[in-house]
Amino acid sequence: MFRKLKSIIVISYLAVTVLFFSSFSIITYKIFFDYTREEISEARLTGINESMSRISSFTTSVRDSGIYFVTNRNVIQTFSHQNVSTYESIVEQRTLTDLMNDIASFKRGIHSIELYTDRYNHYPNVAGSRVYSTQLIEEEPWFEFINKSNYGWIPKHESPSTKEFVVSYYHHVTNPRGITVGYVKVNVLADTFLESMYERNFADNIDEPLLLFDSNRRIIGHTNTSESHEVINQLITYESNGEYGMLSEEYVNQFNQYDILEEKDNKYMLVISKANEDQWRLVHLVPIDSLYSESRKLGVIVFFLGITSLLLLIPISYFVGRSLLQPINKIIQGMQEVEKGNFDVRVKPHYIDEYKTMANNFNRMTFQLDQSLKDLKRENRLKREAELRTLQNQIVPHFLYNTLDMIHWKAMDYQAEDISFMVNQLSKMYRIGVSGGQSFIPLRDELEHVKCYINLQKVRMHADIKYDVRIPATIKEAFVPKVILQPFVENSIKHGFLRDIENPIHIRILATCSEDYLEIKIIDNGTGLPNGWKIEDSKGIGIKNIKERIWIYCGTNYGVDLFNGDDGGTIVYMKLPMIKNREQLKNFLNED
Amino acid sequence: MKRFPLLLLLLILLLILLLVASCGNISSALKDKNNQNNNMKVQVKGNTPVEISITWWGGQERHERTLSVIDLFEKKYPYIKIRPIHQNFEGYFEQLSTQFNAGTAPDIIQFGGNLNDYVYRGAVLPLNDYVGNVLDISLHDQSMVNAAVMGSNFYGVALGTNAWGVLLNKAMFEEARIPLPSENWTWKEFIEISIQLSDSLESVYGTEYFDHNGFGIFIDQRGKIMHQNGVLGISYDDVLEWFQLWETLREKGGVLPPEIQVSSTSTPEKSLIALGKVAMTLLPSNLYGAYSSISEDEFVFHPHPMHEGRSGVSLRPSQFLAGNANTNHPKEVAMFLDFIVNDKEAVTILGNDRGTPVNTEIREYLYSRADENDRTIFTYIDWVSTTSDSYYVPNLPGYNETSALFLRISEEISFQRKTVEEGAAEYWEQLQLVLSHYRNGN
Repeated sequence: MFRKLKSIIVISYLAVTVLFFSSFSIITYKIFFDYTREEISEARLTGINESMSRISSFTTSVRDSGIYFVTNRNVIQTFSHQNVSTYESIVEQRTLTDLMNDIASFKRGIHSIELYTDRYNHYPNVAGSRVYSTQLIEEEPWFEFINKSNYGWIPKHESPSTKEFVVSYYHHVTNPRGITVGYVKVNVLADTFLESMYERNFADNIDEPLLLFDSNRRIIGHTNTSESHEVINQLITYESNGEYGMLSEEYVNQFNQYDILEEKDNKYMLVISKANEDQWRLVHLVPIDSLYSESRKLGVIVFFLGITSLLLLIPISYFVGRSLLQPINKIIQGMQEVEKGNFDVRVKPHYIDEYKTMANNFNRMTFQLDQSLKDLKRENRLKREAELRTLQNQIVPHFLYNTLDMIHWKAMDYQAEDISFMVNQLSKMYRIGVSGGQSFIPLRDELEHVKCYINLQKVRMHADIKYDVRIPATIKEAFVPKVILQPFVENSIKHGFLRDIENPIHIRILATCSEDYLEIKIIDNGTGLPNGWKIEDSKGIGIKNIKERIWIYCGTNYGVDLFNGDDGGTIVYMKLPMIKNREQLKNFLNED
Repeated sequence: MKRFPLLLLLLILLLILLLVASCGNISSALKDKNNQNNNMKVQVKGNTPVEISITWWGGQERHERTLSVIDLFEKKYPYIKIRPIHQNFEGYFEQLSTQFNAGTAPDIIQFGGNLNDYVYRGAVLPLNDYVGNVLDISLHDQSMVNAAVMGSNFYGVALGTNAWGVLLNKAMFEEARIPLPSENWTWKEFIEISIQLSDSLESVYGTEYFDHNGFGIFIDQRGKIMHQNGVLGISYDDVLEWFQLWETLREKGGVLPPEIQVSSTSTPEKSLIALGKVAMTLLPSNLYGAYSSISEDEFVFHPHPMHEGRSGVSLRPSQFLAGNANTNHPKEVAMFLDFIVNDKEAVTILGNDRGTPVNTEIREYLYSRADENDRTIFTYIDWVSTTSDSYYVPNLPGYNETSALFLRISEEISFQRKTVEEGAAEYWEQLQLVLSHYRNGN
């Protein structure tokens, strides 16, 4: 199965495509992923810096409200008075409250402004007053911050007055002599404050903790920081009293950058904003998973696209493989046909050049094979026929030979010399004709065969037949196919001479030779060939038989032809291979 | 065989198409991401999200009820987000005035009897365009609708009907072994009971000061009308007698001393009666539920002391809910106003907290399933409507100033910084001055 060309092609095609496609996808995805990571990180950093600047403008506004209050001439004036009456204290508290409410009213985002002072500890509380006793906050964990510095921020805490969660700006209130007489506290609802930290609805990303640190690295506000975000502990340390978290030492000097944090199996992107004028910074933790969910989605898309393409590729490659191999299969089928012996097979030419050549060559090959085979068959048939005929010729003369021998001796008994001579000649003729079944006989014997025939004819016709042989003795030893001369002589005598003509019949046989072939000419002085006669027209089987035998035994290079001589008469021209001796005859026959 | 390249071409085309399509996906996915980053505000398709703010005053219970109604509204109209700002009554209108001046006032505002002040300064959204389509007032009491009509415009929906009465701490009466007064008690009885309560109970006083609201009832009891469109219907003597009445009560110890009185608030859970410092206080009927639910002591809602058989108490719109004239979303404002008075579920949540519902159909429905507190209120409202022929007088124009003036004078007298006569004279003088400003359109 797998050794089939088609399978190999399909599999290699698939393998190459899969390899290419998967590496292409992976590389593309990787590049894209890196790119988006960079982009997302930068975008997040930009986003958080924007948030930071929003916070800055918001906190500035909050701080300004506090500063406005403590620098207000009336406030300072109020605190310069000593020993006020109950009624005056009430009026003062109302005035201060009104002022604070007014500021809070027109500053967006400020929830309330409160004043903590011991000035009115021994006076009645006024309904709706924003003036409270310091005692209310002295126990609060954040009171030490207020004590430590003149102004600053209090992280998210529960307001002691309204029980709401607020982030506050505080500022010391001093009397004209510069002594702290109270603290103004500008409250921003923690939610409002956090809202200022991001764009609207940003809070929906509940999985993304956001922390705001002040210049003392203290957490001012945070959101989305559930218990599950243990990663936050990497960022935060707690002061000795343990109430408020602070940014760890290692991050003290880190601003405007991003990094990757790992907590157990989860990875987080840590984004730290630029520092604002107050050296605050916003820290954002984004779970990598959610961050790259889009990229992941893309990965999935690419993956499925790849799979789909591959699924599509299987039929395609199968189809391509099949299409490419179809012509080969056709040729293979053709060859199988040829193998079975059907040479009529022809393959349709294909539009691909190589296949076209292949098909043409195949077709030419089968055509030629067909031709050669037909030729071979014909030759074989002829050879067999000739052999058969020779055999037949052999059997009859043998019997005749014995009979003739017997007649010869009987004639000797009766002293009939002429009969004895004729029978002797005839017997000699047949003996040579049979020649022990040899196909080739020396030229000398062949000439003797002719001579016997002529002698017989002389007796039969009572005519003088002149018979000349002009052949060098060496040539007479050469081997030639047997009984090739006599039929021509017979023809010459039979057809070449009119019976009543006195002109004696003269037959000459000449032979010359070169290294390769032997030429024999039989020349008579008869009437010659009829006009337009050709050897193919010969009706007698004798001449045709000779020609075929020469072809069969010696090849088509050799042969025989007849034409009229210049001085009348017929010339038989014969071209034969030069076989000088028995040795050469053996070689010659084996070559075939 | 000849079709082969064609087929292959088709397949390749298909592949390319697939690739292009997925590229589209990718880019749209990226776009989505960007959109998510940039336009996270867009939540609901179709309606662009709208945020409107609303402010009101009240105690914890009212806040909770109102917030539930807001939740309900937001669920029904998801594209509208309502930002609630709730506060105590003290300082509410001062703050509102500042916000109007600063241009930061909320879109929907709860007003009291002083709606007229804000209408005159052009701060209130006329609702004429929305009545009948967005805002349905066809089932509302005509008198309550009329209360919000000024000139030819309709300005706000009355959130409820209420009537003034006196809240009595029954437990303290029992502790002092004083029987509860009758329905037709007089000022004289009121003064006696106050003094008795103060005397019998340790660090508890008989009554709170009845402030300018009580003064309005006091005037009505004398058959006079406080004002008509800012023109006073009272005389200096009325003022003098009011302050005299309370100064007498103060001297006898029946009323809270001013040091405590200054901390008096209408926020139920912080009120002096809830804190157990006083046994009686002036209260609008709608707050009865809120008060009785925050104290262990049993509170009784009782008619106001009478003067010559006249209670001086009228049915009045407890509060109005109206729009800011400068709101960017007047339609959504009208939708919320309609919702808060006409939605059965919403009104059921609010109950009597802002007064008896003005939508007659819903009022009957509520009446049918009223609990004991609600029944008390319904009964009292019924009693007032059947026994009193006093009618609703809006607040004095320039409510912020006139009420502050009244408070200042009251306190100056109670803190002995002015005599009753001096105080009354100053009030009379200042009141004329303030009203003249408003009459002149300032």
